[in-house]
Amino acid sequence: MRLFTLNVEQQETENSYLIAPDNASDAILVDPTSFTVSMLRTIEDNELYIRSILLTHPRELRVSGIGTILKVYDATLYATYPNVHGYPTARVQGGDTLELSGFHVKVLSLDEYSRHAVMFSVSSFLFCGPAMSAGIVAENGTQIERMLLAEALRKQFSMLSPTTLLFPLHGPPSTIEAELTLNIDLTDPSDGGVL
Amino acid sequence: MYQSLQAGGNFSGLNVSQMPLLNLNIPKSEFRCCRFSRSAFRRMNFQDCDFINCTFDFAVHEEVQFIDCSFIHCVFSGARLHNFQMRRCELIENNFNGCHLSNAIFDDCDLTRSRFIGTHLFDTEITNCNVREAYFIDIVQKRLSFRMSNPKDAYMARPSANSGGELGYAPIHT
Repeated sequence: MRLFTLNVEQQETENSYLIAPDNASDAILVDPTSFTVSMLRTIEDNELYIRSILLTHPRELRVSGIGTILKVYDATLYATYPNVHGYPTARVQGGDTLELSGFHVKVLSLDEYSRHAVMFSVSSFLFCGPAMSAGIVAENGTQIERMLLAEALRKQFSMLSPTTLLFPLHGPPSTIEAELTLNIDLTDPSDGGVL
Repeated sequence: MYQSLQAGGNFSGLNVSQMPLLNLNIPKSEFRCCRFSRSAFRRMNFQDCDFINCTFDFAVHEEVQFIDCSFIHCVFSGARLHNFQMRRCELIENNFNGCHLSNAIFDDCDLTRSRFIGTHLFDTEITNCNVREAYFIDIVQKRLSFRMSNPKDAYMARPSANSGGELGYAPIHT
């Protein structure tokens, strides 16, 4: 599997991710918040073609580039909403498994937090969107949102391999084990670590 | 494997988790999506190496030097780094949360947007480094120096109730 992190400098730096099989061109784009020349260059230089676009939490994502991407590539949007910015999606919900570009993509719900928020698990990678970033749960959320989300994340993380790599919308990657053992938002539920 | 590492080259998907690596000089190489989790490095020198999406979480590194290397989106969480040096390295958006650093030197490095949340920084020098938008939150420090660096551009505090959810800037003794 090939993985590319595509940084987009907006008001704050956001990460989009591009994943593709080793020997095929069909690729999956995760959480494109914009579509820049450098993103296009990465896609084209690696002879990739965007077939699928996964959106973890359309309400919280700036997805201004989707229209452009869909003009260039014949891709399908996957999201919890029936349409995003007027573009129809293939709706997904927690528990779904998608077969995309040769990958099994599992959809993990965060229902305790929001029925529109999901994470996507692909091989040993987990794309968690804005739900969390390394060391911090829902940086911009309210205290109650963060508490609910921490509970939902603990539940999902406990079912995944500790070596799973986490790729968030903001900031550096992490691992499930690192978050469960070092992130105080997730490790101290009894004393209300996030409150 | 030792020989191929010492010869340098491009390594993708290499998994040396939980393995010890001793007394090696690694020349110009690219490591992409490689796993060094829980590895034990001792007396290792890396020169002109690029690490992209690599994991070093919970590794134990002692007497390790990285010179003119770049680390993009790598995970060092929970690692113990003793007598550890990074010189002229690009370290953009890396995860050092929960690391224990002692006698560590970052010299002339770009640590933009890297995270040091809950990190122990003992006898650590961050000299002539760019720490713009790096997170030094809940750190435990003893003799930490930011000489000729820009800690005022880093985040030093968690969001508080009256900060509107924004991360705080706070002065730190340098």
